[in-house]
Amino acid sequence: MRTFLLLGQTGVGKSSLINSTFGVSVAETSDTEVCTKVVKHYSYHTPFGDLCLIDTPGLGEGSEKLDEKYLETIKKFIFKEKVDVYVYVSLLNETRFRPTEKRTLKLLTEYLGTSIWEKAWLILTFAASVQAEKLELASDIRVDQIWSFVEELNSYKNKFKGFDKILMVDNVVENWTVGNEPISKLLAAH
Amino acid sequence: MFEPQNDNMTKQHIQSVSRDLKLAPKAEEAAKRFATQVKEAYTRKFVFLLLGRTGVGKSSAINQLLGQEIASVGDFEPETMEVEEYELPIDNINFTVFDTPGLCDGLPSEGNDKKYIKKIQDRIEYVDCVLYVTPLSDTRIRSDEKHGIDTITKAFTKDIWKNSVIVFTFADHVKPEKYQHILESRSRLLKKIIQEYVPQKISKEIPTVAIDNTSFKTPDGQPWLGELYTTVLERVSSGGFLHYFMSTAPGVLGLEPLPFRNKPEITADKTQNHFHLCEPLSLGEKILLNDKQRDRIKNRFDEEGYNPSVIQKGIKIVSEVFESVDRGIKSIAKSAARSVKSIANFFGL
Repeated sequence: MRTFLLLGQTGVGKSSLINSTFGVSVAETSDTEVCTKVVKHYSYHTPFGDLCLIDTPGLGEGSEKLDEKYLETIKKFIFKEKVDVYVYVSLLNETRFRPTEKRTLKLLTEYLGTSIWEKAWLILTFAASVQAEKLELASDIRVDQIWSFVEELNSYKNKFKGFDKILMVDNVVENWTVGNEPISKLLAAH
Repeated sequence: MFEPQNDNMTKQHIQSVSRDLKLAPKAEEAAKRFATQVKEAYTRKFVFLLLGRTGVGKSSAINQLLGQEIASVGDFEPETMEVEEYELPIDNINFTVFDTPGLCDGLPSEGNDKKYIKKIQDRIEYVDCVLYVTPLSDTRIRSDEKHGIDTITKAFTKDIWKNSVIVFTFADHVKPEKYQHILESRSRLLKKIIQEYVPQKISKEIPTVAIDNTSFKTPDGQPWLGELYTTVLERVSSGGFLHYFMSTAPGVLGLEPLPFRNKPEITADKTQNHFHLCEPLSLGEKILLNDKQRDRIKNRFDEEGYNPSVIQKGIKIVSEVFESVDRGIKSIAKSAARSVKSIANFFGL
């Protein structure tokens, strides 16, 4: 079974992505408030194979101390469990590459190590709220910003080979993906 | 246009007129105050303060409120916390819009927060209205916004929130059936955060207005521009309330059309490495007020002590003063005539 660990800022749609993948509401989500405060496993059958998605608390919710506490929890988890793919989740409908997101990327790399970027996917959420004709531009800008930033992080230069897969999804318009494929199929595909 | 070489002359003239007015009979106190305030509008700046992250639609909100384009407010990527100033005369009344790029973006200040607070205090003498702009579609209030709220309260004290309006942008980015729920929930949560820094009796009074960046209607089908305008007018400081109405009533409300429009000044070229989710809404749309909104504006006049009969007397004083002006302030006299005419028009006088 393939195991995905979801990482990213609070409110980017990590828990919603889990619900969209399995087609049922298993993870608690909210349009406005923080929900996920602990690391949680979700393993289910899908028509395309068994999948395990691991939800983590999002960063940037409050104080730096809180972020550190969350990162320690995630770190402990990674230490004892096998993770096949690290999924970095980011908002596509965000018009800027914000300092809070840079901080998130920096903290994730510092605490969890550069190895997370060696088997990393990028999932861009809220894609349906970007006009269809701007989708390509928006994703190009966002991928470039994240990529360049990770590349520049602590002597990581020229080592980051990029994301193994980049997906655009939307969890508000349920199970919407660019290309119209179910999310579970995209995750199960090799 | 406001001609700087006449500025001193204008001030002197207005000061001498103000002295003359003090001799008027006591019974006309409120009317006199009204007339004085009308005249002061041409020497006192109206100050807006914009709060909110970069790229959340602050400039669209202020542009629609003023009916004109304020040079690209916030259209660049801040590196540190800054204070930016934009000036715009509307029918001879000067508006200053202070933007605070970086403040709500979780960016470090040059030096430290204390230095930034000092910088704000040095640059901004007073504020007539604060617009706190944040997307309705934001799924969380993150640490960057919390830091901005904390810093601005330290710089201006809790009282700054008495003249504030929360503006939720991108209302079209939430599902229409969830619109009311999200609006209610976002308002409650944001006020809860503000309440960490400000007493509840102030924070609970802060009004919220949702606006849309692609349409003049919110997902519930209601036009938002009149609502935003009215809410701002209800919240602006006593010192700036009449000025705001005077400058916007002729053009923006279309009560007495302006003969000219000001061109925005172009500011320095800044790097643009972001994209816009949508094209900006057209400007110059007349704000249509419904009966309820008109009543709310009349209430605000009443709270300031200006009932229709006071206003009528006040207008008479203003007209007499400006009838005998020298050439130096002729254009101001014209603006004042236009403004009081639109006030009279609004009250059906």
